[in-house]
Amino acid sequence: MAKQLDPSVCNVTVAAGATVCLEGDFIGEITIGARTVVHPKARIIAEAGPIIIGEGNLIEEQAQIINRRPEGSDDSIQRTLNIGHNNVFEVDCLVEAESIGDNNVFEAKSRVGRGVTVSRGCVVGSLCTLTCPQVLAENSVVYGSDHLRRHQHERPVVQALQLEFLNKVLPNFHYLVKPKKKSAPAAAVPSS
Amino acid sequence: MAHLFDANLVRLLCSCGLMKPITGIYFCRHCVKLRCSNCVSHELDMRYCPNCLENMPAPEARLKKNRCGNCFDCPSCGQSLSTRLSIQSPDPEQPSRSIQRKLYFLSCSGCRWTSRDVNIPDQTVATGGWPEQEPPNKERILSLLEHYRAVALRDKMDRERKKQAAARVKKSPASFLRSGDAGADKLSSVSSSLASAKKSLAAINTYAHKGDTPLTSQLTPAEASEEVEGLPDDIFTEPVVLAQVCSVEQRLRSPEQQPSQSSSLYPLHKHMLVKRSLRCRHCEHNLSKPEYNPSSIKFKIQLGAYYHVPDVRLVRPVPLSVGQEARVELSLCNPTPHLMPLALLPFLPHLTTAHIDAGVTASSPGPRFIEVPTESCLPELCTSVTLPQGQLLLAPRDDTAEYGDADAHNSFKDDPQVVTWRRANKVGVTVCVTPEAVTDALYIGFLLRYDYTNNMISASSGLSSVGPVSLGPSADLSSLGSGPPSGPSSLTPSVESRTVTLNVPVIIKLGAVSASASESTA
Ligand SMILES: [Zn+2]
Ligand SMILES: [Zn+2]
Ligand SMILES: [Zn+2]
Ligand SMILES: [Zn+2]
Repeated sequence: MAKQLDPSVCNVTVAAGATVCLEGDFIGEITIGARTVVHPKARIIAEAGPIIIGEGNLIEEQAQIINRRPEGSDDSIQRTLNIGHNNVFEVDCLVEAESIGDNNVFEAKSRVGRGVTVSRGCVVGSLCTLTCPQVLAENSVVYGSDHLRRHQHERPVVQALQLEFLNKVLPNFHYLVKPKKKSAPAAAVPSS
Repeated sequence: MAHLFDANLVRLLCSCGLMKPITGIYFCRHCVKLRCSNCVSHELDMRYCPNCLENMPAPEARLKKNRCGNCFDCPSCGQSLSTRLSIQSPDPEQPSRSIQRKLYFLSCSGCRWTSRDVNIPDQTVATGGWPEQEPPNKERILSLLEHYRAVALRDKMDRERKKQAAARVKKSPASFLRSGDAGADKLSSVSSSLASAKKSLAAINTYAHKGDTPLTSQLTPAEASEEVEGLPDDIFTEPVVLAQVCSVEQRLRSPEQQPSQSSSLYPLHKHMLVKRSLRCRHCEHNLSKPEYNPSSIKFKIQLGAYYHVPDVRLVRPVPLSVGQEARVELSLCNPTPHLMPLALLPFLPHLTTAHIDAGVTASSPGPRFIEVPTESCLPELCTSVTLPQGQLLLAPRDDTAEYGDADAHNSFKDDPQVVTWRRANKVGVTVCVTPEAVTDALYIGFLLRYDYTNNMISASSGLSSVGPVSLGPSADLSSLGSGPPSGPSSLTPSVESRTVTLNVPVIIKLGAVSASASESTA
């Protein structure tokens, strides 16, 4: 009765305790850690290699996390996109970063291009676009239409309450991607 | 569609000679003329804080430098700061703090600046109590203020003393004459002059006492020095971290402190805003008066031209090329509840400007000057414009029209040469334009002549003795002046309805002209 992800397109490994809605777009090898919430219309596309998402991340509606292959590059080269813990990907952000640490916030409609390494505690403000290859220093904030930068003393707070709430609410209205049983092979998840 | 709402495409020529879109123009019903922000007097009604919407009386605002005491702006990006709550849980290491405490700090949602970034201690109350920074030059400024206040006082007293002396010189011969005539009066007059002399002497003494001596002793004059503080030693060796240095905007946001390091940014008190009313400079009637309540966005009086002058809009932009006639479609909309006869006449700028000058000098006694800025210069208008001939009628505005039947317009016998379409209180007309030269922006101008029905409360009928006026170039449309029968509101006895013919110059920006027809089609 429950819908399933298409195993020919994606291989999503979900840790116990994560809330991953089935309606999202998933392509490629994706691993999602515990307490992470993925909203129904998020897109996670692992084209150039696996995407490994840590614990306690919040991926909101229409957020896109893409591990994109550079144009004209060799198909055989694999690159893993590692995403740490407690990051927030707000509505309609597009993240194609090289790697992402912990406690970062990608605000609504922000864009982070290829070659950007996001360290820890960074905030990319609404409608801010980062395209040049660079390393965002810890606790840096990019904000405003002029892409001003500042350094903040404290990291953004963890959205624990919000995650808890979504963990409770989302299963009532959406089909979820279930954690795989270790014994069962990936392609033959029994439709319970 | 954007052109429909681009207010700057169609502009009206105000009575002062400035071109403004209809949204920036007011209509004085007493002078029956257009007024704009340039030719009205602006009056400050009240000050209020845009964040907490509290109003502040003028003396208090002066003391607080026109800033709100409770609301803050972000020193880093300028947005409003919001107060955040953090709950401090009991600390096992500190037994004295065994209960939960609510702590408040300020935080910016734009750039995530918090009051904790600059080590401002959290507050236990939600509003107020934030530490204030002392301006470094406060003492000096205060002493300067005091000094110059004393100087002003001394000057005032000097002036008064001179006035008194002049008056005495004038008076004394007369008094002596009088005393010579009547011996009995002599004693009294001498005593009175003595008394006045004594008084003035005493006055001089007091000036000397109060004014001269303490003034010079109080103020230490500023000392100019050639020595300038040198640059810090590490300026050439340490790399600049831009995230820690304030930008010029950030520094100038707090002119007293001008912090150079972002670690010394302090929350800024929010600037107050004002509500202002506008008054016609010629007749002193209010053109716009907001409601006193800061949270209200309504007006007690709002005589915007939008409610009284037909709204002209460009229906769609047309491609223009040199030598080729283009048909520009305009829509005209009647915002008033009265039938409005209307005609488009050629606009002759030199006649209108002459009229403007005459009008200003004639009706403005005293020092009420209205300066016409140089930017008011009319743009070069396209000369080969064919306007629709004859008169057309605009139906009154009727809010129920859009729910009624669409055939109502049959009652108007429109000349199809003039009116291209008609819908409720709107009509469409076509103007033919033949551009003559390549330009970035082609302007056309015409005179909108229409009959305006003015409803005045009869209590003020003495002021509204405005007959049908005929302005601008005289035209063959003399029938317009008589106007239509007055609207139904004229039946009520308290309202007096008058119909006047008005001429409003309209200037429309049409857009760029390409070189030739063949090029534009290619
Ligand atoms: Zn004006
Ligand atoms: Zn306030
Ligand atoms: Zn800010
Ligand atoms: Zn007036």
